Amino acid sequence: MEKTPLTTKIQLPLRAVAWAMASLALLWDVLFSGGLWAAMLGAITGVFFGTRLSRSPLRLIAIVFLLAAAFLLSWVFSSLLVRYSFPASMLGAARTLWLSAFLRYFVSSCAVVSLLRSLSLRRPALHALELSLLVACFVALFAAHRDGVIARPLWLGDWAWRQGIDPAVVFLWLGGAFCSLLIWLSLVETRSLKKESPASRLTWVLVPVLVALAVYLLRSVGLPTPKTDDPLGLTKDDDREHYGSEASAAKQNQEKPNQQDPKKEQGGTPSKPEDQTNGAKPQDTNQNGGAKPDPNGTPVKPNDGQANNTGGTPAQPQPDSNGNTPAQPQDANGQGNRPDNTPQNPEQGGGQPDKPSESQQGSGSASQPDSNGGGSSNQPSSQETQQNQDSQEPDLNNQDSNSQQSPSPMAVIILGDDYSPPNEVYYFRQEVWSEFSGTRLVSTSRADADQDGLSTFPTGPTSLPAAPPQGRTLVHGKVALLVEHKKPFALETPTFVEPIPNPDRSRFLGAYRFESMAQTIDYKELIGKKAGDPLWPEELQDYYTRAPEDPRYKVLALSLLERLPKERRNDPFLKALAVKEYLDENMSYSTKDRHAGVDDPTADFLFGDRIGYCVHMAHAAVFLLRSLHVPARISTGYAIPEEQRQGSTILLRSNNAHAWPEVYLEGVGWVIVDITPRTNLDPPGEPLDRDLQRMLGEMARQEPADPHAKEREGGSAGLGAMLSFGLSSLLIAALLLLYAAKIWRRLAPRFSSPRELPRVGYRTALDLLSEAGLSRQFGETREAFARRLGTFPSLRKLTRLHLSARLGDPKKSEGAAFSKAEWQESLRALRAELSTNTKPWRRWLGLFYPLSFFNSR
Amino acid sequence: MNIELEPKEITESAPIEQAMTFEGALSVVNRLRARLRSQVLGRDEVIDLLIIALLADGHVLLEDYPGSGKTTLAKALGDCLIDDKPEDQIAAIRRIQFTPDLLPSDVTGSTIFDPNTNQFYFRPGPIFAHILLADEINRTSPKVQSALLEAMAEKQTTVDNVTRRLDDLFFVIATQNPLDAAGTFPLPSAQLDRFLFKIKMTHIDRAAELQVLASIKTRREGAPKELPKVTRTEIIEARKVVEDQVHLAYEIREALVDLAEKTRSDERVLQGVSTRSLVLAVPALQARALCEERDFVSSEDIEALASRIFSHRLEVAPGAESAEEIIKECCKAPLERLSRSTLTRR
Repeated sequence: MEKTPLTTKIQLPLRAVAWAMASLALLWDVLFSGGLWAAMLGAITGVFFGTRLSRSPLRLIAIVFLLAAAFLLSWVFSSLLVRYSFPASMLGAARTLWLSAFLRYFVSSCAVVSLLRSLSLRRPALHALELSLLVACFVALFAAHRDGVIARPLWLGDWAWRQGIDPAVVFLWLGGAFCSLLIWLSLVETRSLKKESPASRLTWVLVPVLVALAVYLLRSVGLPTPKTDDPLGLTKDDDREHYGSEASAAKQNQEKPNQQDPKKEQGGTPSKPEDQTNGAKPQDTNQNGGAKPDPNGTPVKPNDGQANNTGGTPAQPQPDSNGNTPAQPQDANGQGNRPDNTPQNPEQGGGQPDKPSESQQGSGSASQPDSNGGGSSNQPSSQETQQNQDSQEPDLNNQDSNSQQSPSPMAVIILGDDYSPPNEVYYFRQEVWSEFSGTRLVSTSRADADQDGLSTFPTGPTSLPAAPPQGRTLVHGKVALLVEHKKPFALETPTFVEPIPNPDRSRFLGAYRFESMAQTIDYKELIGKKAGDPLWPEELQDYYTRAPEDPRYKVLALSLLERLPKERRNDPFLKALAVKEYLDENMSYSTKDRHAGVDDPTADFLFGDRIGYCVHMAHAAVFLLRSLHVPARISTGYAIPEEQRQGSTILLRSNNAHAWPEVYLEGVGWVIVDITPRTNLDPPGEPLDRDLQRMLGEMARQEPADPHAKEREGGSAGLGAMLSFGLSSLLIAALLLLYAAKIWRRLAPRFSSPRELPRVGYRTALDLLSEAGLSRQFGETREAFARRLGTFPSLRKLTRLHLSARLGDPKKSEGAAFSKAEWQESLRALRAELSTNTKPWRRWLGLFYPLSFFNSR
Repeated sequence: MNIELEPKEITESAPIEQAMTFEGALSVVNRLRARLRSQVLGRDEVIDLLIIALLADGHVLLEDYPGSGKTTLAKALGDCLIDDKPEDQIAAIRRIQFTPDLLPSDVTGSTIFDPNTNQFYFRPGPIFAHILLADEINRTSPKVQSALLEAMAEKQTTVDNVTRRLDDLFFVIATQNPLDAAGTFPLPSAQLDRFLFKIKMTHIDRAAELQVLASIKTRREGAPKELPKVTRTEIIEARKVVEDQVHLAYEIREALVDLAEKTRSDERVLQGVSTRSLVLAVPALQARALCEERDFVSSEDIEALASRIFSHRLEVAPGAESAEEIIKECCKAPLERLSRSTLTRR
């Protein structure tokens, strides 16, 4: 079968190893260790047995039947072993089971492998079948691992984690090793490697080196990010409704216009006399354009209900549609605003009369011609919507989707200090809404308010105004973002933020660390604290207590105070508690009821069906508190129960998005008074995946379990990068050198002296031939080689010229052998013969093969 | 009549007007080849070897079955020769059929008493010929074999303590039958060493055999008249041309020595190639180069002749494969080295 002993010597062990590994990979999840050993041994035996079998005089069909019979027999026999009791009584139950499995898997894997071996040996074309099955076995093992998901096999992934290595690397190297094994196998199989040639010796080394290089380069290029539907959900979700882009869009809109856009786009608007309305206008347009949802446009009533509604119902234009079609925004604005504005305007006074500006907001169709202000404000709105769609925000409105879909991870927090919040919930503040805009609260436009809010991601160490130190403690922490956020968030009342290097580029979008003055003072001790800050100017005091003018709030709030003992009725914190108590008891939580399409969602919620969610609750609470002259505001972000913390790791998921009311107490600062309704109409959410949390935590922490592993990893990563760079530059240099040598050898006959011509010219001829795959064999004389290539008559002539010059009388240095014309003519003839006798693709391939001249001997 | 041959007389050849050129030697080869090929069909390779041996001043041992054309070959060779020195009374061709009871004097000749002159005179045996066909050389006793072999090596023979020179063109074609080995005296390797080539003749191919049958009659009449013969002197001259004008490169000599070393270090070989056989190989290689119209010895010549020259000189260990195979294998590395050396800068 095998012509050279080398192929047999290497081929069989190689193949045996490959098949043993393949059977191991294929059966790993199925079998216990005994069966695995049996399968591996069977595969190894099968390789040798199959080779032997194929050399036997048996016909192929007989071999196939024989092996099929052996396969069936082993299954039948092993099941018989288990079925009847006497083998068990003789050997013991465990041993019988083991024996049965061993027998079954040994014989069947042996039969399958021998069948494939003998098929491929008898019919060389079927070798492809064998190799592809071999590959399939391995691919099956790692199929779950595609797209960078570290899933299976768990034992390997876990092991890698324990060693502090990214499993992706382990899998890559495994794949690389198997790849080189396969390349070797196919090289040996096609007898491309000959013992004698130095090029083939080089190939043995070169294959793994190249594969290793590829693996390294792949690592530096970057691994694929897991797809949306991966089981871990480690990704951005393209599914917009999931994230309630309306809400996020709304938020963005409100913040952007407030802070930047009005100045840029509207230019003078803020300075106008009707600045309420005008001020509202740009905001409105923008935010409405983005997603009508909320906020600013509508004065008294918190509007988000409507926002959601519009967002949620296809009947009304949506932020998505805004983003997509330029025509839509205006409609969206129009429709969105109209309801908002109509009530708002009368109340605000400026409203109705402001026709020009309002109408632009109010009626989308008419808006365009009306005012440049409107026109300009519309445009950005659509742009922003688009931006919004690209980013994820904690979603306050999306809880309904949670019931159907599992919440996706948003960020990982690593706490640096052991901190337990007094009400056992961690609040991560992202945004603050304090400015009353007619129906709801929006981000502030005042410079002196809400200074503890983070508006942009830190680009360097950023300090925030210090919070009152009383009853607070310094907490360090680290945030690794899994999805894009528009604004940073941190544990409540951050004082310092700073960007840090991304712990794992393939998983996280960014990371920063924060320092927060988190509340430690117990709620009981807050009783008796004064509200507000004496340092606040009157304006600011007013600003934080500005409530809707709807009298019902005041009436309700005062009635709540009656529950308190008289002497305590003026205590701000007790006021807040009373409001919380009332809301906790009487409101029902549901994400289904969005209070959309009404003028004042908060009023609709509080004085209507009393069913709503965090945004409604927070607005209701703040409005009630403000009507009692307690400075209050809403913060949004993430809230997560302390019980979900795992060690120092907190995994924030989309369903942790929250909005909560806060009151300002002198000396303590903003204190969270969260509303937690007793009744929850929504089904419970999906439980937290603790494994995922731990894994992400490990990644974010980038602190391997093994303390030395970090150094090792750091060292090896640097070394690896250096090595891969060095290797690749070495490889490129070698390649260039080889091509240069090739070109020189090709051109040399033109420049050589007549004395050297026979050597140089003949070398060129041999190079030409070896590019076409024709080269002299070991021990073959030059004449025999020329005779063998009978279709190249000019080669004979060249050989004769060459040999007569090299082996002839050295005193003769004249004659044909030393004539340049003769050589060039013969070489030209050889080229012509090559083009008629060989396939063009073969010549092209040879032309670019840098090592071709190694074969010209 | 005293026909005792003076050595002086025999060695003296006719005066040459002009030294023979390379082309002249080539024409000798071509004439020999043409005549032999017309007479012996399907044996082109053996004919070439025979010519090479003739020009290299070596002898040939044909190992062959009866009836495979040995005698025809030898006779055809004799027929090619024109004895341009008839006065030495040496026949162009002689044949000795060796039998166990043959005596050395039957080969070399003996002194005979002439009652008329009351004198002994030497009557030359068949060994005094240009071409001697020694048939079934292994059937005769070692005594006779050694008598012949001395003549082959030294080109002289000693009868009654008088050493007589043989002709310069003394060319022996010995045969032995590989079958019927019973009662034979196989040649010891030292004696086999005297033969330049040991040629194993195989059966000729079908087409050639058919042609043999078709041309019995024409061939019986001898070679066609128009095919020119060669003279004895021409052959002697051609030998000189081979020696002087065919270049033997250093690389070739190196390859020969490499080959010898290779055979000596081979496990399957008890006794490797001797230095004498290397010395004998050189003219053979040169002769072959001439036959191939080359004025230099090339690697091809070594490849073609190595197993012919060396295989019967090799003592092969018991159980090993045939000497030819071993020689062929041993050739590979030196030939590879030789081939590569031609591409290196000098």
